[in-house]
Amino acid sequence: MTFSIAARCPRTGALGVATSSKALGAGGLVPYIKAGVGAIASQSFVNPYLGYDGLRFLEDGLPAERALERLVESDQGRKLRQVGIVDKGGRVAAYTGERCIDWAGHVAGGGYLCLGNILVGEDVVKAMAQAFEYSLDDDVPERLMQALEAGQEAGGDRRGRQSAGLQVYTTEEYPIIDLRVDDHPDPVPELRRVFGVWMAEESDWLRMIPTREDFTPHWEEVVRLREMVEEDLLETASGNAGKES
Amino acid sequence: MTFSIVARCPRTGALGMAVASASLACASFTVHVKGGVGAIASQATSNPFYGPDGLRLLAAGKNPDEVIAAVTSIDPARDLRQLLIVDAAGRSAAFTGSGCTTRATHAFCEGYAVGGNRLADDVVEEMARSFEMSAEEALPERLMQALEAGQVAGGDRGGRQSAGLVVSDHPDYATFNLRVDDHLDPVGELRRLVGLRADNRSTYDGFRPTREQPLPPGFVENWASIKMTLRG
Repeated sequence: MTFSIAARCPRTGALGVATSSKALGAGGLVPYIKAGVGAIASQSFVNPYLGYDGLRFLEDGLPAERALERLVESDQGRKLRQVGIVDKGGRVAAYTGERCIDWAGHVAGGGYLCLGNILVGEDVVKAMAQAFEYSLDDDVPERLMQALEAGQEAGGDRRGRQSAGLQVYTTEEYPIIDLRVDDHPDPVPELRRVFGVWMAEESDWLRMIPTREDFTPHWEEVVRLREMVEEDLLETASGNAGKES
Repeated sequence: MTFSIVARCPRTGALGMAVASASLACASFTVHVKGGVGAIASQATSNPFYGPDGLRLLAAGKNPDEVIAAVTSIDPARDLRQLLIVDAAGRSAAFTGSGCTTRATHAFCEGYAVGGNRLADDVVEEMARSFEMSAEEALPERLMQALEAGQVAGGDRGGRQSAGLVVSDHPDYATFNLRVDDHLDPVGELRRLVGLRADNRSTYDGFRPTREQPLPPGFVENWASIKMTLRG
């Protein structure tokens, strides 16, 4: 039904999840991330409380393994669930309920884990892990994207394709990247395309977004860019007026 | 840059927001909805803390006017921000900074607020009118119609790129959450997704874990048929 990767960047401490599924809008259901705390993927008859509670347990100081034990214990529906946790120290823990539909399972590595259910086979998560390992020189959004692509190329969800999502948090309360493809015949390449648009249009803006300490970082640049946008609009407006007349 | 509506359903108390913009993935940073607490649209040159801080203040008992005063008072760039709020009691308020790109405006009434910036002339008025006229419908449909009315009226003068619709009638998570992050006709595409979700309503509305009941009633009994369906 779903294949996902949750990971922590060993260089920056960024935390992220990438996911794809034969379900509508999986990008809005699977990832639960808090900067400086942890990244959780909750899937297979998603119980969102495994995400919320898991982040709370991590925030209280439990390592991934202990947080997972408490989550699984707390859920009477545990046999159907699949959940993966990466904590701020890069420790990982995952659980695949015995009634998750075949193939279902996970592989864990240093600072990351790949998990899935109703997959074509174990190769999907293995290919994801390998792609993540091989992309060590890239930034974590790119690495997550590559892992997701490798999972799809290995066959992905055996029910088909529908949605995908990518979320990464660094130091602030909001994500630096949060992209979704909710319904598409080929969601992973579509997510790659949207990710390319993000790189081209948005990544430059990141340093200009308010932080908790500074609501106006690089402000002269924000004001200048804003003026450019206004000028473009005026030109567009006069251009349109010309065409109409 | 963006046009949006936040609203509370007078029948069910559900809270939600619909938004569209000529920027990438607008729903990712503008939408802040929490069931039983409120819905906040934070847009224009948005400050990402208005949403989470605003929801915390609403949950602590502040009214929407007090929330706007609190979050804008500490922000030196408030003139570039726009904020729409409705709370769980249906009280609403809005703020449009004097430096937001023309036409930047808002309107609010009992139960909802609409607003936007860089808009064509009648966008906000048409959205409000659509919302007023759809009182018989469920909240997601009303929000969708208001967004469509805003687009038909000309929407964002900068173009079209993304849209989103989020509703929650649950204390912990959104029960309706759809996004179109990069599309030539984002509002039209969002309408398609709304239709798709409606076609599978039993799947999305039938499976809804709660704190007390993480495994919904009837699920175990129906497990065999669910499993057959999922195996495909």
